Amino acid sequence: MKLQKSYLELQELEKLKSKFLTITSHELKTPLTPSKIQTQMLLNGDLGELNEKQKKSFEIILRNINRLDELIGDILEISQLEAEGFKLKIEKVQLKNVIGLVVKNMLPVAEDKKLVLSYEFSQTPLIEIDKKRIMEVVTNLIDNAIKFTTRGKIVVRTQIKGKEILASVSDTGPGIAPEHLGKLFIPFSQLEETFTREHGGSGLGLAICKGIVEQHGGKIWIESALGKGATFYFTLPMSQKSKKLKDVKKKVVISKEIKKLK
Amino acid sequence: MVVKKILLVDDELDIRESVKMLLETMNYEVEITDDGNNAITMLKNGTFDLVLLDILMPKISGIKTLEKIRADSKIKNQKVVFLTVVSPTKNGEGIIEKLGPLDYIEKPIDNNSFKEKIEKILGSGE
Repeated sequence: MKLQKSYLELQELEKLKSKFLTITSHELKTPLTPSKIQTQMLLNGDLGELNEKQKKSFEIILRNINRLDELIGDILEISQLEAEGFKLKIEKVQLKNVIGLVVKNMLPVAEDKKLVLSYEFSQTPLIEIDKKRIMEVVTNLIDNAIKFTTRGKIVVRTQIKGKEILASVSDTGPGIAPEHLGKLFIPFSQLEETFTREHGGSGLGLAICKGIVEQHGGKIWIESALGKGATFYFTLPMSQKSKKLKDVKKKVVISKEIKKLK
Repeated sequence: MVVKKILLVDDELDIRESVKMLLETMNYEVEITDDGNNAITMLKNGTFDLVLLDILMPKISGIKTLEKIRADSKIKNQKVVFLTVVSPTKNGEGIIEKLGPLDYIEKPIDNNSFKEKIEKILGSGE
């Protein structure tokens, strides 16, 4: 009985937290808006010519406004995900084209760091997914791989495994120590870890990826060891028809933690 | 050349001032108000090439304001773009289809893509 009560209380608390995050995120975007417009106008010379030092100063301000903007966006996204789950816009697409497009978009980012980015696939299935969301996942995984890899290559692979697609993003980066692996998909976990803070980002990217993949009925995980690089895997069912609507709306991120309490 | 006129509706003073300044660098004439009902009165009494409409406002929301515009025979064909921190699709399905804003721009805006969008709208179909 007592356990059941704390389970319900925890659920309420989660709802409250999500609502709070959504509202505060919106409130935070409001003061950010004029700051960003003004800084961009200054940098663009709309309000008069700037000298080099002034320019550098405003560039730093703008960069940090953008960082704050991204962070707020991520918080909003994760809180929505926790509150009601994403509503997926499922369509039938050629998997190869979707992943191929992301890889193409990310090529310049990889080339900037002199890394090789490639996509390997053996079949070209049609698959039912929310294209935009899955592109977001793959973009995030590739972006992470690039961020943490200083030399070598990043390989994206997709293959059919039964009724599912198995996709992976491998890098030749430093790898991740076993004690950190479990925390990767938990929201804000990066903020606790000084060792990754220097790499920027909100620490929400992987939690969002996990939410999106699970919303599709898939799984996401990582295999890595120090000095051995890292490979992120995720699966996606080829068809969404077999899934019940109820499943789609379930709370994906916190559900497991709460279930443990039952 | 006739100067194009834009009505900017937003309840936040600093956003109004900033967007107005930005639009003025593009040589548009800009009028501002902080309230949807007031905007409707202004639209009835004048001609505007475009309305930039915030959604979350205290007295009347941008969605309600646009509903009123579409229901008024005198101004129902007014060109409107939402300028909002919340995607209008989150205010219920079919808002875009039903009310026909030309576009929505999310705040905080990127000045360059904002300019492109506005120029595309005001530069075409005249």
